Amino acid sequence: MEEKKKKKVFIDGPISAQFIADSISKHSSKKNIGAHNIFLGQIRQDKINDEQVIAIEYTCYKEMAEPILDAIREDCFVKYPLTCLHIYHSLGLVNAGEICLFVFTSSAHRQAAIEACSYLVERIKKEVPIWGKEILSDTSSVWKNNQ
Amino acid sequence: MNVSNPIQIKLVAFGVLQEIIGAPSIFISCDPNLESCKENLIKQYPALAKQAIQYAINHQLASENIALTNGSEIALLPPFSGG
Repeated sequence: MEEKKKKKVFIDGPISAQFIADSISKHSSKKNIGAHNIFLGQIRQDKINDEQVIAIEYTCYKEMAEPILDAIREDCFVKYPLTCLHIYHSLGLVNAGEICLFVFTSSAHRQAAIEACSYLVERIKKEVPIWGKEILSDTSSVWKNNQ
Repeated sequence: MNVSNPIQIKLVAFGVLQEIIGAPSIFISCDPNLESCKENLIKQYPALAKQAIQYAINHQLASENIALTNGSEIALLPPFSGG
């Protein structure tokens, strides 16, 4: 049976390796799963105007973001035969090298999990009202532009 | 002829647009449609004219000049950059 419960998406600060490991281990009881796919977004230490990006500070319009995330999740379940999916995004400050986005899809066979994960990441980046402010090594900042 | 009375709306702004407005939210009066609201805003904050902005009304993206009512929440959204 598909799991379509509404889940908490936003996490204050970085997403820890422990949180990701715990999330994987929680699925060991679901014996109908044969494949997981995971996307992890990490803060890249870009160089902007000769200064290094040391962190990104994320903000969002939660009242609008949450229903959009619900719709993306629903669409994904319609499009792919998934057992479950999880989306976590950081808010607040995340340092270079830390994880800010964790998308986790599970299915009986690998193709659905892989394609659904990529579909979710693209839609999250394009449709969810979240903004990243890149904090530079000289304490100045630049609003991030998604590629 | 449009003889509608001005209404009060709540304006919320994010990212670079919040920096231009100087606050996370403000109240403004305008005629009860989105175009009037945009005109008032650009008059008040000319720097907005150079920005890429999407508007949302009561948490829904608005692509046309839809009607506003007293207490509507208009959001000014710069290009999204999550992930």
